[in-house]
Amino acid sequence: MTDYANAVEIRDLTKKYDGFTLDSISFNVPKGSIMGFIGQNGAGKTTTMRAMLNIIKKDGGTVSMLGMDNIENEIAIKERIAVVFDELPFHDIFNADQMARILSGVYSKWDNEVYSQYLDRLALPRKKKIGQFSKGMKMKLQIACALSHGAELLVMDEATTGLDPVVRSEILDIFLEYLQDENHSILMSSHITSDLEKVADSVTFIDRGKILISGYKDEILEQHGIIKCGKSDYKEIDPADIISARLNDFGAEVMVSDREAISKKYSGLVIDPATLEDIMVYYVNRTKKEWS
Amino acid sequence: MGSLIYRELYIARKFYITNILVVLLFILLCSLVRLSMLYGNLAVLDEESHGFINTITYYVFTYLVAYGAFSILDDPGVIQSDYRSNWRIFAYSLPVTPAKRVLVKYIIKLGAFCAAMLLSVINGCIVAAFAGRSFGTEQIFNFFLLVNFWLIVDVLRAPMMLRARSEKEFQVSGMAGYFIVIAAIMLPIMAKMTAIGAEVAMATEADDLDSDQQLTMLQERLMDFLKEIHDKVLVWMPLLTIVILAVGFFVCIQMLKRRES
Repeated sequence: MTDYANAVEIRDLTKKYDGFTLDSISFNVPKGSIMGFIGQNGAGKTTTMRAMLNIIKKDGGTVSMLGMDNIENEIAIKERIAVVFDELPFHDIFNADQMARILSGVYSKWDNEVYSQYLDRLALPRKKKIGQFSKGMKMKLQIACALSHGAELLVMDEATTGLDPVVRSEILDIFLEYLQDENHSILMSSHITSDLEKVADSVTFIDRGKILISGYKDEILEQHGIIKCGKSDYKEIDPADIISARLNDFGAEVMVSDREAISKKYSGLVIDPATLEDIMVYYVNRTKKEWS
Repeated sequence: MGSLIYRELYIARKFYITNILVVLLFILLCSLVRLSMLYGNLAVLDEESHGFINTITYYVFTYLVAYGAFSILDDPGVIQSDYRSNWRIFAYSLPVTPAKRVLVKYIIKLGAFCAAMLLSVINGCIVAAFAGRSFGTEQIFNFFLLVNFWLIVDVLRAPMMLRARSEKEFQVSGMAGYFIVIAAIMLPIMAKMTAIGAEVAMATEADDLDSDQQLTMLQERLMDFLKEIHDKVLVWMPLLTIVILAVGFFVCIQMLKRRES
């Protein structure tokens, strides 16, 4: 087994489409951590994931997974990772037992006992056709399959989108258990920032094909804040200190990226903590600077 | 690989079971007709009519059922099904090489070919037994020519279907294989037949032949031509099939290696 510090290393990854470019993005997923990969719809999350998995051909850059090049060692890597998509990619005619039969022939480390335990824990029927499953059950099945062959890296592309809070909570608990093994890592793309605030160790924010922020979640949340102030106070704030500002009839809500420095500079203003969702919304509007 | 073969066979099971049952049903119906000719209401026909029907039904039952059997080699819809269910995208995340994925399809196709040949041979033996004729290598070679048609159609359309990204592209890919093969076979044959027709017309004018003589000359020339084609095809078709299968195998691998855009 190769030794590696980062489960995923992406350097200058580029992919061009008509009207959209993934523009030399770079970030790492440290081994033993969960990276939340956030961005609005169409920001480039799925394109990044697919380029990383060699589902689409990249135009430039390098991708390393588990310490190996993602193209030269593609099969060896895929033996050790699991991918969960936003929609179940299994035919409706199969049942859970049949999926085990299929995947056990694909993965050399498939463990039927572990799979069976997950089916029981997630209350998934074995003989019922997948086509009759609810959306939550389909996602649970996909996750059960993903966790049953000793994967070191889980790559999840909007896997919790469209699920109810109870199912999402159940799935997130499973992820936290999965990460108790320090050799396990998760890269999870989502625009449901509340899930990532609960479980992610680090966050990478992508917008229009560019990485805007990448780092430890707690540090990002610590650094960013929202100033809620009146119009006169808003005029006193240096535009260079503003990520973007949401204007209303009474004043403005201003996103800043260095809470400590800003609180010293504008001592009369109160800076509230920002959530990941706030950060996402304000950064998306950064080019407009002022919006409502 | 066994699990992937199981997956595809399970998806296509209705197609294969239905086709095999239909062929078996046809074999049964043909056998009932032959029994009727021997012991039933068709046995009362006069000798000339009986002989005529015996000959026609011998060829029709032998090759019609064989043609039906070889429809087992038609597209069972797995590639389209994989596209609709997103398995095609998911398959890129599995530790399975493109060569293995294509080999799975070829193994299944080989199994279908064996099933089709077996059914055709069984039917051929039954029909020959009823007709009091022998069944041997000539019929088996002719079956082999029929299966070549289906195999080549399938090999031609498989790479296109592996890259199809919409239902429309699937339909076009599916039909393209037929059109290419039919055009490759029919166009030269029709051109030659037209040329034979022109030769006969010129001979008619030159030798002042009446219509019966003209028709006889045309039939003889056409039968000679078809026999010539039949003999040539029997010789080079097996080699051509092997080459097309091998090329198709590698083209399919290249199609799977090309990534989605």
